[in-house]
Amino acid sequence: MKLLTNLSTGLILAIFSSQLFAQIEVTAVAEIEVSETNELGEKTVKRTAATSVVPGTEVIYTITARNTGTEVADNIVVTNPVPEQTVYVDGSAFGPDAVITFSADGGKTYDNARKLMVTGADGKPRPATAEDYSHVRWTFQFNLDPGQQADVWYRARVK
Amino acid sequence: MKKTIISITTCPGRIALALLLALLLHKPVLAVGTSAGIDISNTASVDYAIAGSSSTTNSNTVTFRVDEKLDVNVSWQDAANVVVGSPDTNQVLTYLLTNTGNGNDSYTLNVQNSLGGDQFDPVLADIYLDANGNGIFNPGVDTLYNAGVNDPALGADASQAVFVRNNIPNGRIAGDLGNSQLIATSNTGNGPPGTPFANAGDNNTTAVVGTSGGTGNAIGTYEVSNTTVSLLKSVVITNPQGGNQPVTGATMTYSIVVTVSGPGNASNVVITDPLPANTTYTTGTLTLNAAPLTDAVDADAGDVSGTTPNTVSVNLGNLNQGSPAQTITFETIIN
Repeated sequence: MKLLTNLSTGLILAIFSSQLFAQIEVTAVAEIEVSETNELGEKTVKRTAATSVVPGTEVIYTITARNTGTEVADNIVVTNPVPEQTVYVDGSAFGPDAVITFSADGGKTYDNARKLMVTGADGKPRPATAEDYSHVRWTFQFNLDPGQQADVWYRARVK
Repeated sequence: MKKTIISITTCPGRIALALLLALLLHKPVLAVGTSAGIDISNTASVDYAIAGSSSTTNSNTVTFRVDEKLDVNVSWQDAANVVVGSPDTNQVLTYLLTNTGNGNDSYTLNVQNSLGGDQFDPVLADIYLDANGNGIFNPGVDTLYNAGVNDPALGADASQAVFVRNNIPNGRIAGDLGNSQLIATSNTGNGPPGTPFANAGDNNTTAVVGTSGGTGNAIGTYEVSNTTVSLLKSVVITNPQGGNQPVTGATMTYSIVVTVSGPGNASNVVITDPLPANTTYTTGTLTLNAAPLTDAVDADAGDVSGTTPNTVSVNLGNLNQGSPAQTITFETIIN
């Protein structure tokens, strides 16, 4: 009887800790590109953290998923809402070996860019354009081993 | 197409005439910009499974702030060259100043009249700011511009009509053109696009010069014409007692005769005549060349209080010295 109690306590602790300590850590970074001319007169483009920008600037969001646990993570899906004061830059989402889909309904449904439809001003369905995207989603076609990480990214233009 | 509006101010015993060019307020250039000082935040999430057990993790939230972009646009609003005499005084060019940036700004106005591509240089008299938002210069209503004192302040996307009044030199001949340029410069900052001004923007943001360079300008043009539009206004008073004393209840029958002299064409001549104070227009009494015109704004040439409140407006179209005299009549009753 005592053994059983100890066992069930251990089980509860195990469940609790798996929820408390995520196996996947995710970080987001917002950067802008700044053109610089070096002493040789060559133009270089440098990325710097976006702290403040003017409307019309393209911001690059990079999202890194890292397996900090000891077990393999699978069925990995990264989702990012496109901030409402920005517009997704057409064709800018990348993620090595990830299937990229978009939502134009606030994240309720996702589809690939060619198939996504929205309701037009006339009440009839029309193909969604980059301006309509509310979310970007990357569905990884691979697992993350312990210690492994993967980056995905896209660009959004500030309205 | 030249458009000429003749305004008549009716005063007891006196008729003041003013020749104004029509305005066509073009749609302003609109900035598409998130307001300066707004924070834009973003949080990503990851769904995943470990050994068949699903979890979701959110990322940190990345936030950046929207800076103020300094952009301004000036456009000339008159539909065609403003027709003037030589000499002439206080001739009005109308411009629209628009803040195409994303924050509050104010502007210093300057006029440059030494420009190429014309036959004479107008001489600046003064600059007025549209005070009642009607886009038409109203003497006594609109505000005299005084640089550094009442520089027009505009929020993002807001517009302000600006009237530049120039004098026209003597000795010019019909067809001579004179250009006048209105220049508006941001008081927050200007310079090459991208130039930053720390803490100068709304909410202490950095103000950054936009593609306009923080300055805008537009050129308006005067054209000398010796075509003269003359108006002769008269009134006949009939009172209920059968006399001609202007007593309460008396009918005032106004007549305006329009003639054109000199070479050239007066295009789209529009006669506007405010109804005299303390009288009431008698419905259905507007006529043009003895033919009745409806009071409503419609297909016929005239209306009463439709185009402008309490004003008779009649569009006479294009006239020249060969055109027959145009006679407009209407009646009012003294209150």
